[in-house]
Amino acid sequence: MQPCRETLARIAEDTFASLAFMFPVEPQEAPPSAAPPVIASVAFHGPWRGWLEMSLPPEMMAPLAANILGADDPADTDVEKQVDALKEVLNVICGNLLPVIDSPQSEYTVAAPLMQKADLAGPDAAATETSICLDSGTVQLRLLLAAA
Amino acid sequence: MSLNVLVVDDSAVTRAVILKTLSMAGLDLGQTHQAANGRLGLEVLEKEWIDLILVDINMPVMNGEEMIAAVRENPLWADIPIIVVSTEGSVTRIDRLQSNGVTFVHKPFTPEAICNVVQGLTEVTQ
Repeated sequence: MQPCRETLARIAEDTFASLAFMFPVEPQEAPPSAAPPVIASVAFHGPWRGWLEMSLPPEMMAPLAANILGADDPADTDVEKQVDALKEVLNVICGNLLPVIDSPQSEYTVAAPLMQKADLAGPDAAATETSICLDSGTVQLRLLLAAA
Repeated sequence: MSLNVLVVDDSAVTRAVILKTLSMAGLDLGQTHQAANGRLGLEVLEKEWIDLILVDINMPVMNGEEMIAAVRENPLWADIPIIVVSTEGSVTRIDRLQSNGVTFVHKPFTPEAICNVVQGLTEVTQ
């Protein structure tokens, strides 16, 4: 298993761009947010077990759902759709990350994403953290890994 | 011939996007049905005539691989075209699915990818 910050960031950027039409920008160009972030995480298990956690500004939630759904007005998306959209983005990032950082032959089961922080204990647990700056805000990612 | 379509995915947003993609592609859609997991998808199949199934893999209760196996084991449903729309990246699992006669579309997908596969499977022209 070869997790690295650059791989995690690249796959997250690609996913936001292709799924939600949110594109990378320079750090100073990403809209700042003072609000507490929205946090979601997804667990997976296979040859390795772990969690992928994502934190993003609450201001991104409505545009994220609207862009994915093709809605003209972000105000048309309710909280349920916004949460579902966030979970789907996280699910896609996780699903695309695993065959890159592990062998493409390895089989993983990815659980349903949850609106909570990741939790992985154990002496062999390791974390990889990165952030990506998008035109709609800055997204933090944290990958927790341990041997299965 | 209009297509009755079943979309099985635990994400309501993804189900909506897939159905919108099919609709905007100009496909002649008949009834469209949705289910949030494989078990609910099988319940739809028991009640409705379905011409095409689009299904995710990782879902709670019954995953897509289990649902596909159940569909292929039922003589009434065994010939229904199935498209797996998933983030699945394991070539081992994808090969196993394709040996079961399903077509694979990787998430995130483009509308063109979905439409091309559907048209190829159903011989429906825009």
